[in-house]
Amino acid sequence: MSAPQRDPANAARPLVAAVCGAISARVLYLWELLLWLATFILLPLLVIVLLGLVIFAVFVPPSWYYSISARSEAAALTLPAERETSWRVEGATLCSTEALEGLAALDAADSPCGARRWQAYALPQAQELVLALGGSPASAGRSIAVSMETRSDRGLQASIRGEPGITSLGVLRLVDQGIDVALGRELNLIWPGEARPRDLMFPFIADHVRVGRDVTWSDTSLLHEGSMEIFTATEEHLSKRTRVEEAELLPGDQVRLDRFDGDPPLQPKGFLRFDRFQAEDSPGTLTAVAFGRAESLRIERFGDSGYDFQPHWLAKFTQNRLLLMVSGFIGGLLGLLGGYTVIRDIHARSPARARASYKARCGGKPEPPSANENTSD
Amino acid sequence: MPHPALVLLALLLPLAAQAAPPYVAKLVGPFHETESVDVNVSGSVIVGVSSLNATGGKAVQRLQLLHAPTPPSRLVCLTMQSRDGVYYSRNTFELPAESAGSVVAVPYDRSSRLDKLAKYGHEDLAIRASAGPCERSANEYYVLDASAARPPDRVRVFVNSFGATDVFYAGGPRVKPVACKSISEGRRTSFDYWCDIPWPRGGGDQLGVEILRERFGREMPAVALTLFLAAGK
Repeated sequence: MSAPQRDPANAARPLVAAVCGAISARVLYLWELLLWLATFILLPLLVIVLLGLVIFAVFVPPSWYYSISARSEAAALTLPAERETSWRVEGATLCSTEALEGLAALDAADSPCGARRWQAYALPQAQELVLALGGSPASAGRSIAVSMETRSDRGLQASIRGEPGITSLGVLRLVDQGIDVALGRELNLIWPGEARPRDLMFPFIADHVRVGRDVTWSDTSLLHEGSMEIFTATEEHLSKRTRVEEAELLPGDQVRLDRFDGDPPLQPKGFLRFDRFQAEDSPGTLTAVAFGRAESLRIERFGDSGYDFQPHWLAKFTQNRLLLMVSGFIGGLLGLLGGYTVIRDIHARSPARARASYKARCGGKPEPPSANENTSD
Repeated sequence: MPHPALVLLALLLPLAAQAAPPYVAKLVGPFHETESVDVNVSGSVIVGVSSLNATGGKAVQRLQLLHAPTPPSRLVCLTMQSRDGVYYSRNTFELPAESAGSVVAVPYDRSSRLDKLAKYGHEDLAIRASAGPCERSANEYYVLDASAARPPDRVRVFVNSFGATDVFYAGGPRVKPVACKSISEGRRTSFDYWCDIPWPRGGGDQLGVEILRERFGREMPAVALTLFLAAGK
């Protein structure tokens, strides 16, 4: 005996009636209109916006900012000659190829400057002495090369050279006496290990920064340790930047950060610091910190031809917040619409309707699964 | 009136004679070149000696050696080194016996990396030809040129300064040491300075030059080299 059959349509009628009672035809119309608009207007618009953002990200990549932080025995800077760079240089021996008015020269026998062309001047420790490099509009477009290196006696030495065409590197300001001493085109500064009076700080805005140096068999100076980071500008963090990637530097690496030749050109900034007190059993090192916008950082490692440290090509997409938001919105909308469609479909094929449909096709009670397979056609 | 074609031929003949020197150097032994990201650091201060015409990778296929009138040896060691240290070659060539004082073509057609070499710029490839076989080190150099049409104006010497802060050359027509130019950008594995030495006019067969280096004012050992000057140049 089969159970008395109920019409599924009749069974659903109270529910439909309840729904119809609750939602007016106008609301239903609006809901369907909303679904239509989302599917055929909003979704295509979002896809167009997404494509636009992808194209924009490809052709106008985000700004990458690089930072270097390292401990190294050698560093080199190329300073723009038109910009003034000031450093305090008390306690140094200043070596110049030109006679400097207003400074007392050391005897050749006492000179640590090396070759005979260099004239030595001992800079007193008790006075404030400021080396002001560059700053002359006449030197616009030219550069001053600075190379710094720690000494074997745990001191520091620097060579400062003006590009051909520069007649003077700048001035040495004797602040206490209010005197400016004009400098020549070539200068060496030597802080012997035992005579270093204070920690030394050399802030800079440079065209090129090089930390570390090529490892050769003829010299022992090298970069000891450090790290590099890539940032991108963002308004979401208080620091206005988000870290994209980070890498460690190995001993012996040489890393270069160059001026960004965009519009406007942007120069790397940073500082070199030489601490008076350093661990006795480690070589004296400079702390080098540089930060700037660039296309890449160049890493040169002993024994290989070097590589560029730069973000993965996908980073231009993954670091674009707007692109990510639109992608997420499209994904969410598709999920919502897809989910709604599936639910509506499942609802339309409710168990009662499926059963009725089956009976309408096959009649009687359902066949067992095995028999069903054989007679499915 | 002579035929225009004959006139043209008469004008081109001297140029053709200049373009193809009659003497060609012969490679001794197998050709040796390497290109590797695992670079070598050379131990030599003098890395390249060539005229300004013969700098850069495009010049390697038309190298001409300005042979000495009284050469110490018929063998020359031709080395090429890229600034980044990736490319290196060292090969011994034999100069024809009767070529003393003449221009000798140095064929570099055995290289399998000519395409890559052509991409090296004027500051990126150092070429030198030292007297004698490659097994023997020498400080006597032939000047390489890429055109025999006229004497070179300057000889460019590429220098590996080994950390010097100042490099000068002394010799030639100038008495006082002249500052060499530092290469501040890019990789400086093989060389980091160049010195442009004016070609002496009406001088002898040889030119003695000294490369002087200083490191933060302290003098480093000077390097003396002799440049052979081709006769008639």
